[in-house]
Amino acid sequence: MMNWRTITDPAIYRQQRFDEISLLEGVRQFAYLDTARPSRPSIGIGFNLKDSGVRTQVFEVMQINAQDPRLSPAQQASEQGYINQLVVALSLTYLNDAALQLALNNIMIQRSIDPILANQAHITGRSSFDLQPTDIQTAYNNIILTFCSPNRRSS
Amino acid sequence: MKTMKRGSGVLLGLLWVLIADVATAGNYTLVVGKGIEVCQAYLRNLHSFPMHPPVVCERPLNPKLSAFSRPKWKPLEFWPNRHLLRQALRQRPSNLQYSDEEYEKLEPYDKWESNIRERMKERNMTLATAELDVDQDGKKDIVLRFDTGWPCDPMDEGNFAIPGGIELYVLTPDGRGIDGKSTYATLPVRAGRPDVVGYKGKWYVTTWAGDMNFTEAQLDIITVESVPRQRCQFKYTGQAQRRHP
Repeated sequence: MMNWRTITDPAIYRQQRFDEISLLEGVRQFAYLDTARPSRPSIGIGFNLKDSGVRTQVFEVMQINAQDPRLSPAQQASEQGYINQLVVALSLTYLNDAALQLALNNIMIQRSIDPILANQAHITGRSSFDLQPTDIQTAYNNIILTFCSPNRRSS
Repeated sequence: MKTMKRGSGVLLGLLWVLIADVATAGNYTLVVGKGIEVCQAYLRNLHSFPMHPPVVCERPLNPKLSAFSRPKWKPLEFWPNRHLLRQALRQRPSNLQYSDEEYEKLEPYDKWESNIRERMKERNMTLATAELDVDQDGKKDIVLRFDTGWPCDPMDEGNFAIPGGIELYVLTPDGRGIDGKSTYATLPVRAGRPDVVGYKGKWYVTTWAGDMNFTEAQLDIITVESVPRQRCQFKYTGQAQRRHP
């Protein structure tokens, strides 16, 4: 006979859910093309970056945010420009993971050395499009919280 | 004759502006949450504003739909409470890996404070609090709403795709600090320009995320308590028409 153990603590449940999905999807720090046809740019544990809701949350944890209160109006305009470039780059087709990552990194490098943004440590310190393990978990929590649904489609 | 020509030009310009607004009003369909009362009611609310721009920045409530409500936000003086924003930054999950000393090196307080002072000259940053039971434990929690003063424009492509400018945090019971754990467990903190709306005594948060060409977006509504969470998702379909700034 099988004895089911009920998880009563939401925090434990959330962690276990994250661990299971991490195991199934694999954890990817850098952007990659998933196995769907046509393939979609993804990162983390299968975060589909073509999906506007998911992308918004990934940008948020990477502190790519044109409305960041720390930025001056000129900096906000500049940041918005980089966001637009990233969104466009994510809508293009790539031959392989390396080409995708290169395209995204080029934008991040330009952003990190942009003289207008020079006094923003959170921008100058990030020259690569990547998610650290903490970022992956935070993005995952936010995606689950707001956007994830069983029958959602990619936009 | 010249005056007449100029007059016609102005009229044509005005017509273009009006047509552009109507064209971007778009349509909403309920994708997730069919049959759930609050989702159906919010769809009726959205449909009652056929001429409203996409609800990227403002999400109006029809006063005729009286089951909907807004929290009673009480303004909080900005400068004396700026430490809450510093704490909010400090409690970002990615910053928890640093000790206080390390974090101070990364984001020195003085630099941060003078930066905030500069930003205050440029825009109207505001703080407000409301008492809402976000974790559904029967006790009211204090929620902080930070408006960064960002001039959100639904006709701006970047805003349409990734709007922001509003941040929500749960405060500690004494109202003096940010409760990071509760904040990140219950609220979509920044992305999607979160807005709090009430329906029949329950609190919900709405968020927006769109594409770069104004054609598609999603509007989500979730209950603020963590378990069980009720969710609605609307698909916005607009016209591929943009007004350049």
